[in-house]
Amino acid sequence: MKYSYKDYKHLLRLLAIFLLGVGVFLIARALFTPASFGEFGHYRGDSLRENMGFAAEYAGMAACKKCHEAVYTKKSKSKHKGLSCETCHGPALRHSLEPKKEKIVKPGSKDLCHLCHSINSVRRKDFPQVDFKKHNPGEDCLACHDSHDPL
Amino acid sequence: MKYNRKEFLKIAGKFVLIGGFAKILKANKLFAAVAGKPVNKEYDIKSNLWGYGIDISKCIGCGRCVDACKKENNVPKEPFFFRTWVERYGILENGEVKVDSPNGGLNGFTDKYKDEKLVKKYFVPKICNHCEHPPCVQVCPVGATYTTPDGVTLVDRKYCIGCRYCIQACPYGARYLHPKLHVADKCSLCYHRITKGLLPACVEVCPVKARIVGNLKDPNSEIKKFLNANDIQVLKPHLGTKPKIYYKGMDKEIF
Ligand code: HEC
Ligand code: HEC
Ligand code: HEC
Ligand code: HEC
Repeated sequence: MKYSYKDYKHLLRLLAIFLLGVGVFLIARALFTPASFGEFGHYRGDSLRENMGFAAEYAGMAACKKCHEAVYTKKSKSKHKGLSCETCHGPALRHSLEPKKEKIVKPGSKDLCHLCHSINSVRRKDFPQVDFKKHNPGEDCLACHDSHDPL
Repeated sequence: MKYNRKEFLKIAGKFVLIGGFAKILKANKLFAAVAGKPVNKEYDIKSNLWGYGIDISKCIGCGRCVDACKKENNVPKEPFFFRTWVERYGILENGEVKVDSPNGGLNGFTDKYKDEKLVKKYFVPKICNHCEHPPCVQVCPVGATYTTPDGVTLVDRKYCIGCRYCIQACPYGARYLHPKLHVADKCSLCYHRITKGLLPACVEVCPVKARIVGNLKDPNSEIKKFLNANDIQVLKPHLGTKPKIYYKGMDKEIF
């Protein structure tokens, strides 16, 4: 038996539709894939830059030295040398840039010292802890301890 | 010139196909041109691989890290949204393990166990483990969470659809759905800080150096020294997620 063109014409039509489908898919993919996709991996490279660009709040201790040299030096020789300024004073990046405009908190001892120094049976024994009910109760810790040089 | 319908369709089809392929080629060229290039001039993404150490034997449970993390990263104040939190472990004489984390440790810890006899006790800080094989990245249906070339797992806030798959998939409970942004949120190792030479907020404020961060590719970095000098364990090693958060002083009861 002999086949003629008209016997497999329909297959060619099918192939054409299939190729068209592939073409449409590839074009749609190219259109909808964000430009930075694949820059670093299987994700939007711009997202990485966006994550890099988020605003910071904490300045880091080095930033305070420039303007608060005296406190900085005093603290770095004290028992509190391991503490960052912002551990007690809170985020201060904006203060560092505009100290007159952006005030920062001077923490009261009431909400501060107990976080680290209250007696706690789970806390390691070699860390200095005091029983707040017995260690000069009713008095401000700062009356006897300078927060920048506690002992 | 006149076309019948068939001829027109043929020619139009060719144009569409050629145009499409050209667009794909162009996209790939773009890809080749920018792949592996540094993102900003000062920061070389290729020479960094971030690792993070937590020294359980040093932590005093003051919760300054939790507080700083929330302030640095605009984490909602409610007591169930955390990028980092501190757990308190108390192991009783009868072997019972008690674990809690009131407000993630943000307000410190009361002396709850003062009348109990604890044989072992720990404060255990937790953050996203920035796994080498992160289950959260695998399940994301829209490619909105990924691991950067320098080893940090991040969220793409523009593409995240808030479906919570990743939150379910994380074996460490490190993710939450941000109630205002309606996207998944988690520890980014303060990517916006470490890529500019600043410490992550939690590391900055830790008073006892219980948290260490650094470049694993640099043999002299803090984290390398920490890894070399101590016996190190990771959380849930049996899951094969290969965390890059390394714990010192980890005990079998800690999970
Ligand atoms: C550019 C200089 C500058 C830098 C950097 C700076 N400060 Fe200040 N700071 C000032 C000045 C000026 C004042 C006094 C502001 C006033 O009284 O109006 C001040 C005041 C303060 C006060 C006292 C506020 C009060 O109510 O008395 C604290 C606490 C403080 N700074 C902490 C910090 C910390 C922590 C840092 C580091 C993150 C820092 N500062 C960085 C200039 C600076
Ligand atoms: C242990 C917590 C703590 C740390 C760490 C700390 N401060 Fe303070 N700081 C305080 C407290 C509490 C006060 C309020 C003192 C007072 O009212 O007498 C204060 C007050 C200040 C003041 C106001 C002026 C003064 O001397 O009373 C400045 C300025 C200041 N701090 C800067 C710094 C800088 C800079 C650092 C880092 C080098 C730092 N602080 C670290 C707790 C701390
Ligand atoms: C964020 C934690 C933290 C806060 C808040 C804090 N301290 Fe400290 N403090 C420390 C650390 C850490 C040391 C050093 C402990 C060591 O040497 O092992 C220390 C040491 C001390 C010491 C010396 C103890 C000794 O025997 O060496 C005193 C006293 C002290 N702090 C008082 C205070 C007072 C008062 C406040 C409140 C203004 C305060 N601290 C707030 C962490 C803190
Ligand atoms: C009346 C003065 C005074 C007041 C008020 C005071 N202290 Fe003390 N504190 C001392 C003296 C003196 C020492 C050192 C001698 C000692 O160990 O008892 C000391 C020691 C400490 C130590 C070290 C304990 C150790 O085991 O090494 C800490 C921590 C401490 N104080 C924290 C505080 C805190 C927190 C407050 C506020 C609740 C406070 N102190 C209030 C005088 C005071």
